[in-house]
Amino acid sequence: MAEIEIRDLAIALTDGSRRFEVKIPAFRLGAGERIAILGETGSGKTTALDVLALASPPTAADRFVLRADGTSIDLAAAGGRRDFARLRARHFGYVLQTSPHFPFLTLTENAALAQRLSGRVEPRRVARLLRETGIDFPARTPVTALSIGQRQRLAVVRALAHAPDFLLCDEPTGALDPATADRLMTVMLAAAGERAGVLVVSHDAALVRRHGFAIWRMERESGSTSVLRPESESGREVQP
Amino acid sequence: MIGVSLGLAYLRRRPRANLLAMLAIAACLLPILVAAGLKAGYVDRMVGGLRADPRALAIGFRADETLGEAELAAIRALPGVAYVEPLPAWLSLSAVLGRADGSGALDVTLLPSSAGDPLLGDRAPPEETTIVAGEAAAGRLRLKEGDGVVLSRSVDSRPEVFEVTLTLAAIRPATHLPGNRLLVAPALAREIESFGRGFALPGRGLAGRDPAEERPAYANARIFAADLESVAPLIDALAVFDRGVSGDSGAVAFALALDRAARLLVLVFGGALAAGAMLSLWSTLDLGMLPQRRHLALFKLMGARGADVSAYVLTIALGIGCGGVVIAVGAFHAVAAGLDRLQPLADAADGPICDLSPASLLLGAALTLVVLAVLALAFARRLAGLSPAGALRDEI
Repeated sequence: MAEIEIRDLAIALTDGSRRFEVKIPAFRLGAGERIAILGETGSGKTTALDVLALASPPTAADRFVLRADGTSIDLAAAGGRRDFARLRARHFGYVLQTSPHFPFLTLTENAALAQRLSGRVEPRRVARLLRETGIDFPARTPVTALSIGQRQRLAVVRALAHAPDFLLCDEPTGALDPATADRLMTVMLAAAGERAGVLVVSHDAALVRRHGFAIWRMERESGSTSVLRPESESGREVQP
Repeated sequence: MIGVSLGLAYLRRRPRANLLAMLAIAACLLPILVAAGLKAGYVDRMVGGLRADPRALAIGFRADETLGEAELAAIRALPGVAYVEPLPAWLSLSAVLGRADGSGALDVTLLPSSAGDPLLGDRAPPEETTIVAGEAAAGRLRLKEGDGVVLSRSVDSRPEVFEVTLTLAAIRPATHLPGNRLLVAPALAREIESFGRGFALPGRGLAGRDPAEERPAYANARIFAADLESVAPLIDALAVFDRGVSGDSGAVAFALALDRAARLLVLVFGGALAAGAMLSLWSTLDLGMLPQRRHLALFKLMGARGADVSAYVLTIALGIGCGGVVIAVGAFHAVAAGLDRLQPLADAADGPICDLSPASLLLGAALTLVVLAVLALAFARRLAGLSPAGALRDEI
């Protein structure tokens, strides 16, 4: 079973003379776990997700480890972009608030993109996920024919098609109405199953709580530093 | 490979937009091809024809006046002179040519010729026992190379006939030696000159005035420039002899000026249009790719490498570039065929007036694609460097 473990990780961003820092004292995401990160706009949620998604390296970390396939990879020491790209392709799936799809690829080709990048091409799994997420269209349907909600479900299929160990979502329901958002979350978690650890950045506390996510909060500790903590340690109760 | 297959899908699934991009590139390439084709088909052929015709290099004095050794030496020393052969003073160096068996008789004009004479081409110069004839003269007497001939000359003031048996060593095409002209060794020409002026030729058993009294003199010279570019300057230089100079300088100057103008046109026009083709591709990539920045950032977030993104952009650019080149070449053949039907131009040309060899077309296509590929690589670098983190942000 795969897991990501973090201890005392820091990400520093500078913009001219201004400096902004995000700290993650301790964090763990394992198989089948559901964690939601909540916080104010501009608090550093997406910056934290950058690092957790292996899209950018941390500035410093005592421990930043990926355990999968019986091996343990020290991500703080792991080198270059190529290593990160390989790990992203193999172990991660991503769903964004408005997940773009290549408009010149068909529905099925877009859904199979992550499979091709990871080298785990399995058309039957794509077909099954499309069915399970309720995208019941001919395989050659252009993505431009899909509604926004259907496109988000297609993004879920694409993110899970290569059976990743982790599903990372940045406000996946942000562009949807509450009912559609609820349906998407249900479909997404069902498709992720017990194998994938799911990390969601969201503003919708009620939605993630309803779907059984453990809540973590990104809080400003000072004007230029934010810290990611479990809700139980944050001192603030998130209103449902 | 995923970048290549994505690029191919982009090309296949956006036929209208990609065809427009190909047409834009073809519209820039076609005038370059037509200009180059006109230069190669019309101008180069005309200049090539002049370069292959030694008569275009021939210069002479209009007036026959005594030409001394000092003047001949001065002419030989002029820059751009390739060959000088003095002509005897006797105004009409003519004779009668017949077959060795005595049949046939043709009035011919004799031109003294020696090694280096451009009219000889690759043939050996005539010796005292050989001559070189033009196609027309040889044809009229049904002569072929190696045949024996008799050259005879008589003058009203002498009862004797100068007659010599020779061998036809070579037959030159009419383009080099038109009419009834023969190239003969200078010594033979001088003998006929002496005979005509009444001097004895003891070697040939002909009596006459004492040869010791004869003062060799020349009236003109066969002068050839080294190349077409030297014709006009040489004509100018020969003007100092104040005899009037004849030469085909007008046609040569026109052909050379046309060649220079065509070359300049192809370079300037071609450069501007090549830049247009590049800009066209760049704007196509800009319009097509920049809206995909977030797609490509997500593509990288999903694990694609920068090389995959570059391959994607390069495949699209080369696909559009290849399409543009193919359309341009097809249109070029159509335009070339149309131009060949234009009667006034076709009459002036001895072959297609707009023509590029397959090798030239292939080379041009390859160069175009290399330039477009370099341009596409520069564009691809921008996208390949996209941070995967950009996918998580809507602002790119």
